[in-house]
Amino acid sequence: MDCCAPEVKLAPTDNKIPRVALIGQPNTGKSMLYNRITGASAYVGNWPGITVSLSNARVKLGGREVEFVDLPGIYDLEGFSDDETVVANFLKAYPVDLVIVVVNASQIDRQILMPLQVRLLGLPAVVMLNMADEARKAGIEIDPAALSARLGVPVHLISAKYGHGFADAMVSVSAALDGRAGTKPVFANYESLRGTLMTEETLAETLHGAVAYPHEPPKTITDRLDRWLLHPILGLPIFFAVMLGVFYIVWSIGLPSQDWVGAVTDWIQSSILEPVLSLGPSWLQNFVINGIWLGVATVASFVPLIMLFFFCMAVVEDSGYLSRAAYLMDTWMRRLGLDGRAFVMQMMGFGCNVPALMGTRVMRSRPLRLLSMLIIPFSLCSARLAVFVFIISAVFSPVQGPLVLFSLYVISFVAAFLAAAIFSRSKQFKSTEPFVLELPPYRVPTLRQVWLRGFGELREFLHRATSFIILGTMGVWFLTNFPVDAEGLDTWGGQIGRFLQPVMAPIGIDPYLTLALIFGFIAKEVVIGSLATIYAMSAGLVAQHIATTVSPAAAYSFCLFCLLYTPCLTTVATAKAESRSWGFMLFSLAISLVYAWLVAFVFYQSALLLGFK
Amino acid sequence: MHDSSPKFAHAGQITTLANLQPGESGVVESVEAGVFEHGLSVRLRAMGVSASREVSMMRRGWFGGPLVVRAGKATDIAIRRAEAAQVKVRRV
Repeated sequence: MDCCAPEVKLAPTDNKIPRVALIGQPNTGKSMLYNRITGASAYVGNWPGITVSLSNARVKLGGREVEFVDLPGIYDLEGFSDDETVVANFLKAYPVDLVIVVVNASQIDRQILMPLQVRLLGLPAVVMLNMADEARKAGIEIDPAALSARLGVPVHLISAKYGHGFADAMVSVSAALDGRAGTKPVFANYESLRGTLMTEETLAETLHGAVAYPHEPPKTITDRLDRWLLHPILGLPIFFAVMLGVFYIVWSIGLPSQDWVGAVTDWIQSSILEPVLSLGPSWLQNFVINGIWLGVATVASFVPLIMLFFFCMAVVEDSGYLSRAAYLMDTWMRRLGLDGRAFVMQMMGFGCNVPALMGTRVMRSRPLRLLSMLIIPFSLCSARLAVFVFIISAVFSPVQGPLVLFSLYVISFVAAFLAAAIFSRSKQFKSTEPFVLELPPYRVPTLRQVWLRGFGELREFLHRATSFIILGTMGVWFLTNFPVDAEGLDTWGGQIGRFLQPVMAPIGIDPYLTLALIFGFIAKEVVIGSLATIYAMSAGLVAQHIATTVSPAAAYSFCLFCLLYTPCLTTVATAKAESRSWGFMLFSLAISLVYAWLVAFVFYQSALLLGFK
Repeated sequence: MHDSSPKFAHAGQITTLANLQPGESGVVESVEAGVFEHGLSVRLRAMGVSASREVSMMRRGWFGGPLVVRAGKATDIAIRRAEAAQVKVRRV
């Protein structure tokens, strides 16, 4: 259970500070409103009894401190999806002083359901009709005063994106809290909600006279764009072009940024750490630099990449294109038990698996999300590419090289699809959610939104992954530095490499390369460097040495294994943090190892049978 | 609410949402549970697809791909054909 996980730090049960929960459907701009209320002060907290972490923040409002909690966007308070259960559990377990119901003003014809449901739950509320600017453009007339009289709670037209009406709405929140001074916060009363039948007439009556839709809705830009972007033939090529564009940005800016950060961490190491540590014993220097600092540098190298990735994601997602991508690819991905969003993340994984795993948060169904997280690590990321380029250029001829590399990309896709097709049959990964996806109108994301997203994701990544990764690098350091004075195959790690020979020999991997794979567990970037240590010779000589000692079949088998087994420690840490489950992380780890071995085994043994050596 | 008499051959005929062609509209009669049990009708209600509401087909994906449906006044949704087949509509 999550309530027993060590990361539980805060038990937000202090009732002296009024608690305000934000509730609303997805695509209502609820999180944007939350960001506007709380600024950058929000932090993600774990609430005992609630299976996901919720963002909350304390903010000064009308001279007193108020705690705001951002609940997941849900379609229906009576629903059964994961997010809907989370909200229900929260409202039953934690009393609130006020609920801010966020409604997309343009869609008030159906979203009026939520304020009505909140009223039945017996919770004090303020209703905010967000994206009022869009509604006005669409010719929808809303009379907030009339609605307020009907619902018996304050109703405000606002734009969280541009700030219109926001100040007044917050005054209203403050006044509502003043009015409740001395009153105890309340728990949601689900009996009353379940016991009341809400019909279409209830909704229509509530809106009658207060909301008027135009008879002929004006032709919107969204309609015009969708004619091309969702085109049955052109839609997919356009989608691939967009993916390529994003991929290109990550590739041309994000990947070099790892080198820039590497240059900085190298400089710190050589100019500060090494001179200072040289005063102490050499084992200490070795441990701090190759054990701890390596971990810190590994984490740091991901910093610009993750920011950049989420800048791109924020644009694709907030513009409304992501759900279109899901629509476009659904025809094909459905057969694998996935949808188009999984494909987007898989493509992103070719740059780096870590942000791609974090990006699966856009999926609401947990089985679907877990399945996507299971196949993303099979994407041939840039770090593995570096290993392949090194090995291929050492062993294969310049003519064969590109073809060999291309075949690995193909295998990466096939392996991921095959895994999805197999595991989507299991109950844990079978999405039971009906595929009904809203296609929101296209919107221009604001810089503020994009920035907050990139920054927020980065902060969370650092918070969750850092200690795990540093512990991991320390572990590998111990394995490869003890017993004292041992080198190469005589270290514990080397002994493990030799011990594993009965398993690794059938796939053509010798103890030296096995030790490299153990290093590769930290990060694939480490593999090439580690070969120099393992063979105790310079990188250039290592290439020559491998060319003479490793056959093409064995080299390809090594590449296959590298492609399919755990990409890196950071990926493992992220899979753990995102799934919030040790079980899933270990399962994913085990599957990738078994999968990698089986594929390499089938390949290597077939190659031997066919007479390659 | 909607009491308009049939104006052409198909009007008034009961069919499923999956059978509407682009440009055609209908009024929802009921949402069946199908294999999704309660989940589908609850989700569709929140999306604006429930009894007596108007829906219209915007576009149909090729190769059995999902459908784009406008629910009510201002909500576009993508829905798979199997899910849409659970929605009974009366053509308008």
